[in-house]
Amino acid sequence: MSTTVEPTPVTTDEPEPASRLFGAIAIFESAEKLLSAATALKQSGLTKLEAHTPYPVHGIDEALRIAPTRLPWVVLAGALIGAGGAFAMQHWMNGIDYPFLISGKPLMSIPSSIPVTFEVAILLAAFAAFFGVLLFNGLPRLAHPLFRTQVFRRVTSDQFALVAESDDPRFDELRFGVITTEHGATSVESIEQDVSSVAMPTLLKAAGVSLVALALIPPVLIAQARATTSEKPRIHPIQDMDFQAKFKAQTTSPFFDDGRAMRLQISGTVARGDMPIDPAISTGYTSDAPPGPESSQWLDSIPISPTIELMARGRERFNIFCAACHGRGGDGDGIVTVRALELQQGTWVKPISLHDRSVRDQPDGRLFNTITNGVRKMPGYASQIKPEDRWAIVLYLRALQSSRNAQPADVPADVLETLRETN
Amino acid sequence: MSHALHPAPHSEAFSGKVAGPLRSVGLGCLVVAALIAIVSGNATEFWSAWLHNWLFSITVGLGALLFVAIQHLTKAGWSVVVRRVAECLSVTIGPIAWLAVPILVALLADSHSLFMWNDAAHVMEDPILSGKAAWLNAPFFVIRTCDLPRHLVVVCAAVLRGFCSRRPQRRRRPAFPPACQKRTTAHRSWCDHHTRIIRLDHVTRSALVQLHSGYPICSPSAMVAGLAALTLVVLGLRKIGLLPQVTVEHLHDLGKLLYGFNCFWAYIAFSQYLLIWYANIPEETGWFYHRQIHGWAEVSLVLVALHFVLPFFGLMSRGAKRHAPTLAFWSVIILVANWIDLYWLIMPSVAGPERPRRDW
Amino acid sequence: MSAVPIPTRTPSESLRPPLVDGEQTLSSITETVCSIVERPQTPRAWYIAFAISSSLTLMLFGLIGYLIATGIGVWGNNSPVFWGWPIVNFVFWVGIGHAGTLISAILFLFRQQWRTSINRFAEAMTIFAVTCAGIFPAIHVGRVWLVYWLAPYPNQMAMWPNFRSPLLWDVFAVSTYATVSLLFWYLGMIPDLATLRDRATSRVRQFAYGLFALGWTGSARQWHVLEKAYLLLAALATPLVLSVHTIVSFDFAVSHVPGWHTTIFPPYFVAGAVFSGFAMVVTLLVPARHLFGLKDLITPRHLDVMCRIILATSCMVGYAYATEFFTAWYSGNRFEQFAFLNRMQGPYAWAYWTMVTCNVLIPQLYWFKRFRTSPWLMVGVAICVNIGM
Repeated sequence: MSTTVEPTPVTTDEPEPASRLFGAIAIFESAEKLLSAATALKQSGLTKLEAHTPYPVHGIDEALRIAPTRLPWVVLAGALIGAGGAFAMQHWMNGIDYPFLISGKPLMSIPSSIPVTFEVAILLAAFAAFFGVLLFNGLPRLAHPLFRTQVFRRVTSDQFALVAESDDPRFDELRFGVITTEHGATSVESIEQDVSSVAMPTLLKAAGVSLVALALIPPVLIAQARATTSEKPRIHPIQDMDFQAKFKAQTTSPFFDDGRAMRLQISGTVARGDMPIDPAISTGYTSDAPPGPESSQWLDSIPISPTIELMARGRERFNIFCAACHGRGGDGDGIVTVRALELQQGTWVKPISLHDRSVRDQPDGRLFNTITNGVRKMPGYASQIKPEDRWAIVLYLRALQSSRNAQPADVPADVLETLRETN
Repeated sequence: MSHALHPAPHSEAFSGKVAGPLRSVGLGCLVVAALIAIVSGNATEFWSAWLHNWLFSITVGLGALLFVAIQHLTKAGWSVVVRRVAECLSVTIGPIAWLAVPILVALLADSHSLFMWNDAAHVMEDPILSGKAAWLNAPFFVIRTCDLPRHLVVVCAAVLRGFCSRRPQRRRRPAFPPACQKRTTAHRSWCDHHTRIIRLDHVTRSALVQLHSGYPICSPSAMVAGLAALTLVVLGLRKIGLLPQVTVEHLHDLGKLLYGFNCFWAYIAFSQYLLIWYANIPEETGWFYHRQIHGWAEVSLVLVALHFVLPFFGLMSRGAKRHAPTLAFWSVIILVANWIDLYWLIMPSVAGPERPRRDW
Repeated sequence: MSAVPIPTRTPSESLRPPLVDGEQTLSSITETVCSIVERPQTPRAWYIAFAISSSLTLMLFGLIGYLIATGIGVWGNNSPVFWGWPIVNFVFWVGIGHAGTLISAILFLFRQQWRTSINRFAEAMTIFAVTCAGIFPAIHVGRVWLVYWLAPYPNQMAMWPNFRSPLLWDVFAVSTYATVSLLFWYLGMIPDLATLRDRATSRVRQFAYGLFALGWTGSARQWHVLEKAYLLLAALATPLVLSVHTIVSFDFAVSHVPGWHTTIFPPYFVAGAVFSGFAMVVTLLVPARHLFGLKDLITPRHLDVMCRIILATSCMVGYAYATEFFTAWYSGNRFEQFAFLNRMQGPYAWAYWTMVTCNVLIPQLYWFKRFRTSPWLMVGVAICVNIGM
């Protein structure tokens, strides 16, 4: 491979067919000798000259005329990109895309974004420095002609080497040997470069190809999963709160003595929105149990003061809850009824018109009770409609009824006058 | 105030030529300032301006002394050529310390135009201030302030002794001399005094209940001021050929220290600001808020720009630190920023709700 | 064993005490350092030590498994508001790491050449300390498998993390710190790995060291770029190390809790971190130097200098304790005052007084030369500091 060349005369062996000359290496014992030899060689016009040392030798940059590296600019760029990126990221994420207020801080606050901005700037600058070293130094480069020489092995420990490359037009191995020996080189050798086979061994190639193929499987699986649908439940590697042990309403539980999963309200507690009100207001009658149809215990009037707001509320609630069956005008021709009769549903009973005398004559409390608990086929609406709203519906219903059956005496005199004029 | 440059002893000619006129100019300015104050008749403004500039002057000397102490403590070798200058700068503390006497005299004479807590009636009304009366009272304040020159004598004597004794042998002492230790400990406690004075000023004036501000910031700002002044003086002496030993490497090192401590000042200032801003407790935030409204906002922004942003980029490159005119420029900027820093600390508290005065 | 090895100076060249003892040459230093990893036979003591530490590590994994399976109530964290035990450990470990960066970066910037004997050691300690620190915040979130939610990545919840929370700053600070420490450590180690590669005799070693040395040839151009990069990384790591513990202190200090909301926290945490970190370096270094025969490279002078740094930071920490106390009184805030008195007299009084004794009083022994020169006395004090922190 390499031949030890005494400074003079140079005798190079016939190069083996698989290698060609890379250059020559001269070994020195001290940095001073290396420096003087490097200066002399540089003056002789060599351009592809390199020094290899176990530690950075001061003055070598000047001797070899190495231009200052541009690495600081790369690092500065990294820092600026990091700072700008982090600042913009925080402001976009917390201020624009997902704004949320934390302890009254502005959505885009400069002081609180400085720590992260600073950290990301440092991180990217450090990456720029590290990868800049690799980039500018052409690393990693695991194979190098120098590694094939025995003498190089001490250069990373305690010896100093000068290497001239053969593709330099001024390269002359003989001259190199003379100059370096003059400056105290202990040995000079030529370096051969192995060019026998640049092709990868078949085994390595096969291994590489199969690794790449294997590595493609997960992304392909993911792509397939994203592109298709599946009826299977998703896989739950971590269950979190997805499947919690719990008892459903109205079931039994061995945990409590009474065997019920649901707990009774503790006596004396009041649920939110359930403040006790006058039973007459919440039921529509004054007795303990619902009285008979003709009883005098039905409330005869609406127990909350009728206002225009209450009327509007009653109209709204009526149109939401009642009109579907009873019709907006209360004639019993709501859309559900119409449709049911169209379909000739045997079980459907057409609701009675609310303008019927039997309804009009009922006391307010009884109407209220009907809404609360239902009548005949009509279900109770106690759970959907609050007591005040039920009274509001009663109020509106009375207004509806009056609209069909009002007497002139019911109308204020001045309004009556206007009405007469318009008709 | 007067930056009495104590020139290096081997340049007697220079000393005679420049020091005399400088001293006269300084004293003249002082007299003129006092006259203006008497004529305008605004005692509070006079005292606060006096305090502000007194602190600024003494800060420079303190920073230089801190520099000297650290060089001794770490046995730094590179700084030998500039250490004499720093030692001389630190000696200015001596004469400047005496300029605190008028403040103390006024304090003992029951003047409360500068310190609200010296007004007995006001303290009685304010439970917080009366709780601090054990610390904030005129005699104790005077004692604490006078303690400063006492330490000063010790330290300066040590500096000068070291100065004289080392001259003939011209070699560094190999061991860690007890004198240095003493010097450093003395110095440290003495920096505390300095910081306390500042705190007393602004904290109590703004009658803040709990401001954890002030104390850590003073060491970096003193160091920055001292370094900036030191760099300027070194550059000046080098320019007129009195310090030929100072090479570009020394300037580079001074520049790096200046840069580093300036960043450190920014770090301390920002971490205080962030904590108070974030917690947003009314009794603390008010201190900063006051400096963010009215005309003080501009002062704050100028401070941020001059004390951090501009020097941060201006002094970042290696070239800037090795180029004497650039370094001198940024030293001046930082020194000015330091003056503004003290202005920003003291004046808003004095002015109360008023805007900064622009009529000068 | 240095990133940028410095040619040894003989005492006659410099008035300063030499950095290494004995008649050292480049090759003898390389020999001393490399022989540790190049021994043909691993010593039995190593196996014993490795067995002990790996069984302790296994126990750690087992206990962490139990912790995760059971919930963080095991740590006593039964409220979603407090960290308690994990934050104590987190801050302690992050602080330990700071000394490594201080030695490698800040002392490098100050051109303190004595650092070269110990910097790689301290950097390795930093990386392990930061790894230890990372365990606690990761687990304390409760469901450690969801810890990636801390990262700002586009997700199906259409949410972003809250960048105004100091805990998220922690995430950025500590992960940046760990990454930069690793880069710094590795970058400095590349030439050393090349040395080991070229000294290696077996194929396996050649391959392994060669892989990590990335093909380093020690050319002048490579050194030129590496030196610049190392300097830049040091300049980046210096503010970074300050920022990390500053941000850790923000965890406490941005709150309204009396006794925590103090603006002295950032510098004081950093000083405390350096303090505890140096104590840890001394604790580990003295036995290591003894066992690996590095007494000529890590000389009594190195230990002496480290003791002085511990002493100086101890004074700073003591000063911070005193200032906190004064400020609490001065503030006139009764809650603030109570918080401090309660530390002294309340249920945690034992911890407070242990802390003051170990952190402020015992390190004062370093004023005496004897404690700075005798390795075992030195370690005793350093261990006290570790306990105190």
